Amino acid sequence: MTLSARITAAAMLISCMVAVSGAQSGSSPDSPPEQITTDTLAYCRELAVRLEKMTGSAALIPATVLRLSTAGRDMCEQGLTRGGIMRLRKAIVLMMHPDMDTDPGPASSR
Amino acid sequence: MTGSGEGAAPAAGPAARPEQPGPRRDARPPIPRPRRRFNLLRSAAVRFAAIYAVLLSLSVAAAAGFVWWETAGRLSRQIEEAILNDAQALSDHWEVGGVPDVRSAIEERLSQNVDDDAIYMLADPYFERLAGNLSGWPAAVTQPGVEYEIRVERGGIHSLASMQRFDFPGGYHLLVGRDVTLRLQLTRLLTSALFWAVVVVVAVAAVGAIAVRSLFNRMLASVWATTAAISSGDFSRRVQVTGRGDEFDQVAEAINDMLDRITRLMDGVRQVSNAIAHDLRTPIARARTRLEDAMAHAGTEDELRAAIERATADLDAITGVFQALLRIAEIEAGSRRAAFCVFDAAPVLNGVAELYDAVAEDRGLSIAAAVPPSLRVYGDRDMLQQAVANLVDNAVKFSPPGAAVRIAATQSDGWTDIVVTDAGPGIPAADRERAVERFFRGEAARHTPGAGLGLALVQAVAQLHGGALLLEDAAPGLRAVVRLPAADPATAAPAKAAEAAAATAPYGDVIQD
Repeated sequence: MTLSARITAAAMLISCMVAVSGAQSGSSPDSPPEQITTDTLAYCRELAVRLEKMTGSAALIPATVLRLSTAGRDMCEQGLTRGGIMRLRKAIVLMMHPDMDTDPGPASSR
Repeated sequence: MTGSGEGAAPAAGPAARPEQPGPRRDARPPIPRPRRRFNLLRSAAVRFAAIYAVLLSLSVAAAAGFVWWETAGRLSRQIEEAILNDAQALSDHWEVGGVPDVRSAIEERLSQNVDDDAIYMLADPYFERLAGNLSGWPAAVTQPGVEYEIRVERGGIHSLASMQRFDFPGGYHLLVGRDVTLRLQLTRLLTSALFWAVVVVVAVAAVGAIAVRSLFNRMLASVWATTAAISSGDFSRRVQVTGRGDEFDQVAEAINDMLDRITRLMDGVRQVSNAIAHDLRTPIARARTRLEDAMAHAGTEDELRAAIERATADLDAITGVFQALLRIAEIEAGSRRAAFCVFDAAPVLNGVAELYDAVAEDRGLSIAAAVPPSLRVYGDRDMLQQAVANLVDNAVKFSPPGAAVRIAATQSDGWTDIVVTDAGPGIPAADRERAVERFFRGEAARHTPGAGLGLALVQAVAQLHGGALLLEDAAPGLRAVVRLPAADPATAAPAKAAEAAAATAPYGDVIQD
């Protein structure tokens, strides 16, 4: 390998190392990692309750929200927690920002 | 008029001279030079190749670095920006409602985190969790405003998160982070791809560098071989011209022109030195013989004085030859070109005709001048006068009694022709080219006085003026034409002053050829 190639490779490696290690590595491999608590069934149910409160006070509920809410609850109960949580979160976002709904079906009135 | 005039030694014509050698192949062995050890860094080809490789590699590396900065770097900066924005918004909530408001804001943000990558934690002064989605405060996160890479577990899967700590009044602490697993995977893929791209380019650059070096060497090989052969004495070698008309061809042609010029100059120097040695040997020997003879046999002081006078005349003739040579050399050097100006050559030509009228009359000749009233020429008046006088002197010398020597001048097509025509034996066509060489003397001029330098001087004057000396057959006789470029009108303004100064100048000496 030529000198220029070695310099280039070294520069690339250094830049990669700087990029990757730009932040301090704060956890040692021996210590157990901290747990994310928003991937649990309990949180899923908490989200479902929050969504229910939002839909309960709303005059019109977008069809997409109802579909996501049902699907999210079902998936959580079936053990697909992350998928269920994601749908419930989407439903909450759509309740707060109806204009983000890309597939607005007929709204249901309560 | 014939040849360049003949010298003081009638028997010493060019035919009697030893043959002039051509480009000499030096019989001496080439000067041994110490063999240089091949040094890579001293090789220009290697340097060019290395520069090519380094520039190409650096260019690609710079491009790769820019791509990396615009992709992986931008992702990293976006994550940091999102963390800071979140922290600022939660800080605003803290200002409004303290812990409850921040807790509510965190829960709301988590409930809308569709990407499932947000990490929040609000802790009391003892780092006990008050809100957020992290099970506990990471022990490693100790300093506010510092970005930490922390391993976290999300649904049984380990991932990496970027976090920062922010402190609130009252000893409360906020931790905001983002899961960066996807970003890291993308960064690794991108870095790897760019790195290998650079490696490939460096390899290609290395191959290209070898090709460049080979091309460079091949193109210089001919130059090197030619110069080496010439330094060994082979002046016949020339650099090969490929015919592509590129820069290397231009260099080759320039070198070949230079070598041709050097060869011609060397031939000229060799010829002149040989001619000097040959032509001056006879008069010097004659003077010596006369002095020796007078010393041995002179009976009276008058006889001795007469012998010394004859020897002095011989030596004066030799001095005249040297003066003529120096004069030609001075003209060829071009040092007098700076004094050029526009002047009227008509009075010059008429003056020469008048000067030689008496000499011609003594020989039973007539001189007829057909010169226009005004003949503007850009050059040196004295030198032009000397050149024309040389031609007229030759014409008078070689024309038979009763003949006429004609001096004429014309201007057309940007050229001024000064023509001197005689009725002598002329110069055979085969000798005309050589007639302007120093010391050349034609067969018909063998028995006339002269050194063979007159026409050489005329040609030197003509060439100094940007013109030429043409020798043509006048049937019978010789027609000598001094062809000069017409005077530049832009320079005609100062001509009057020059003419006024030159009007009274004496005529220059005629070089006897």
